[in-house]
Amino acid sequence: MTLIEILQSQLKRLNKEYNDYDARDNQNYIQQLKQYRVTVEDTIDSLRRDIDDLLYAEIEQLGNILKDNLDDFDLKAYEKKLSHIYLVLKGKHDGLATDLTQEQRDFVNDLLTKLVTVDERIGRTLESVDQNNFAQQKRMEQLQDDIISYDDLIGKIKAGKSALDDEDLNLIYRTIITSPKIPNDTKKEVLIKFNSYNDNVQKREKVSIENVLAVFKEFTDDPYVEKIIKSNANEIMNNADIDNIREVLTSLKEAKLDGLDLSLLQRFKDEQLTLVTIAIYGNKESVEEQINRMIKRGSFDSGFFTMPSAWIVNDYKQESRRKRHNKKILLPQENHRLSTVAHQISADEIIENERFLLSKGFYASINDKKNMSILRRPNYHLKHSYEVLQQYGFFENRQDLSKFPISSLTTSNIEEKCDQLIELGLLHGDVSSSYGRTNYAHRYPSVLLRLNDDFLTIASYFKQMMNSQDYYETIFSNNLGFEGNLSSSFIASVASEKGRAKTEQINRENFISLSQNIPNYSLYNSIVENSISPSFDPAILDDEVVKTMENDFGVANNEYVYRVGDVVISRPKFLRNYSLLKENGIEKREGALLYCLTSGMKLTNDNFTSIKDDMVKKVK
Amino acid sequence: MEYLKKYDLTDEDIMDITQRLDDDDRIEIELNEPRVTAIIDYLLSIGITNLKDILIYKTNIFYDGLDSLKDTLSECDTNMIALLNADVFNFDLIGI
Repeated sequence: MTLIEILQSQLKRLNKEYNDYDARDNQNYIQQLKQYRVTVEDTIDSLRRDIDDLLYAEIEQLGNILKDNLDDFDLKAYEKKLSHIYLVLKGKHDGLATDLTQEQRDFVNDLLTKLVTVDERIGRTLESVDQNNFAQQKRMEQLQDDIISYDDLIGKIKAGKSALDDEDLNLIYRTIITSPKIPNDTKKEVLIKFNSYNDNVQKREKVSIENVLAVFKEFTDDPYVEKIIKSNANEIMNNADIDNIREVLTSLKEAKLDGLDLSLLQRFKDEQLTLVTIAIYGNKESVEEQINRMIKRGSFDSGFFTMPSAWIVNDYKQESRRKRHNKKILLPQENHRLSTVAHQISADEIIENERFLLSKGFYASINDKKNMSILRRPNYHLKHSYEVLQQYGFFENRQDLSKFPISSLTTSNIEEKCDQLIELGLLHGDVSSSYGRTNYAHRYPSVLLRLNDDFLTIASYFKQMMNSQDYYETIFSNNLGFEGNLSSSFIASVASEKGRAKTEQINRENFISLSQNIPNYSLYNSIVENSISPSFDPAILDDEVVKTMENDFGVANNEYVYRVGDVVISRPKFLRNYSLLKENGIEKREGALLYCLTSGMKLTNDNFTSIKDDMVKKVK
Repeated sequence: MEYLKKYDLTDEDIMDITQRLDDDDRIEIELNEPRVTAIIDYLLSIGITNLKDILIYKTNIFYDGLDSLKDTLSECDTNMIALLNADVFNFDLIGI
């Protein structure tokens, strides 16, 4: 077997393990336990309030829960005694002059003690199940990473240009050498072939920068081409193939195209980065494929000349791109810059992005080189952002979306930022005064791109420490008599090193940690973070808790805001979070509701306590 | 990004810009000097001067063609240019 065949077979195994993973059984078990716990805790609460509330308890379900969780529990005796108690309570409720005997009261008190014990046991079990679940989740993530790394490794070996490095060896070691399922002979073979591949690559004549410059000189004397080659010398020396460069440049020079007065090569005269990158990372076939694509579209779209990756084969699956995009990105080393632009996005995905944006009424054009930075973003990301902005009313009262600043579609964690803008009083805020300010983000959607932790901290601090008028006066300027601009001193405070030191101090001295103040915060957070849906299930509006929230905290004629005391909370956030937690069997618990209301916020202790007290008072 | 110094941006400005841009944007600015320079020269020629903010918050401008940018900005009167200089986010008002 060749090294590629061995790796492909390993990749198949990883994909199978990934696809076979079925979390549903575990999820059902967790959900059942959570539902049990809600039933038990509700019963404990109501019995503590009034022993007669046993009349409304789910007696049969409680019996089963107690039987499942207590070793010496006698279900028959329990049912018999409770049926008598139930009859007495029913009679009392219907107006008969009857009441529980002391013995029956003692029984109910004993039941209460048992329920507390069971509640604690379920809590402990849930904690340990969560840990297992966490481990499985981690394994899934590891598999996803490995699958992507295998794709890259196989691509690298197929290209045959660069040596396999420590990271590649580590992947092979972790997934093949240490695996008990793989025969020793295969392991040995992999290591031998790994080394012989590297020997062959290293034996290749080292490409000198002078030779690279010389071959480019045969086709162009553009000084910027030389500059780009020299400033990326290490990367080019490791990856260039002189014959390939000549072949790519020749195919661009000789391409005969109807209706094109210049040679294709001359069309790169202002796009030296693209030219150099495709000569290093593309090949004759990938360039011809792109030429055919442009012929098929009937135009030689100038925007493609600014995007190296359109000329290079980039066939990562969507899921891989999603994963790559979400991965924490390290600063690129000097010797990876061309590789980064070479693998941004495929030409087909750029075309799909253009089609999508135009279909929604935005203006982006490969041909006119308009909004090119947005066209390079992953398609799933643009679609998701569009849905979120629509849900948060950014497109309301806009006649012409072709003038919408679509760079805002590139915002990461866009739902959370929309929620934060609502909560800072900068989106769908109070209409009675200064709507230019209280709805600032609607007019200036790309503030979404500016909203980082520093911005959130300082604006949250001002908002909670000042009255409303002072708050808006502080963060907005009156430059040019225009009330809709953030003040330069506010911007300076969130955009400098000094500002950053200040935000750390404000965080430390004024805001509480939600994760330390909300029980099971990490559990709720993991459920919410794993969801990719930006909206909530409309059926959630029929839920009793939601009805209470809507009645007590809703704001007339504003579908985006809850007001709890003095604090503004994003209504879409609450409904989305609550909907997700309810789907997972978690709902009426105080911690869960607090999480739904406060996630993503910076809150002072006073405001957190006030939300907690108000919420408990209304919902209980 | 050293070439940006010819526009009176200091080392500290360039450090700030570099730190605030993501990888893709930073490489785009670093390695597309002719395109970026042409766009900056045009912005300065029509009186837009807050280059640092534009480089940080409106990097998308530098991916586009100069002609398409000219089409958009040619409609701006002096009041609008003043607004664009007062706050880079006023570019939102003209769809950038």
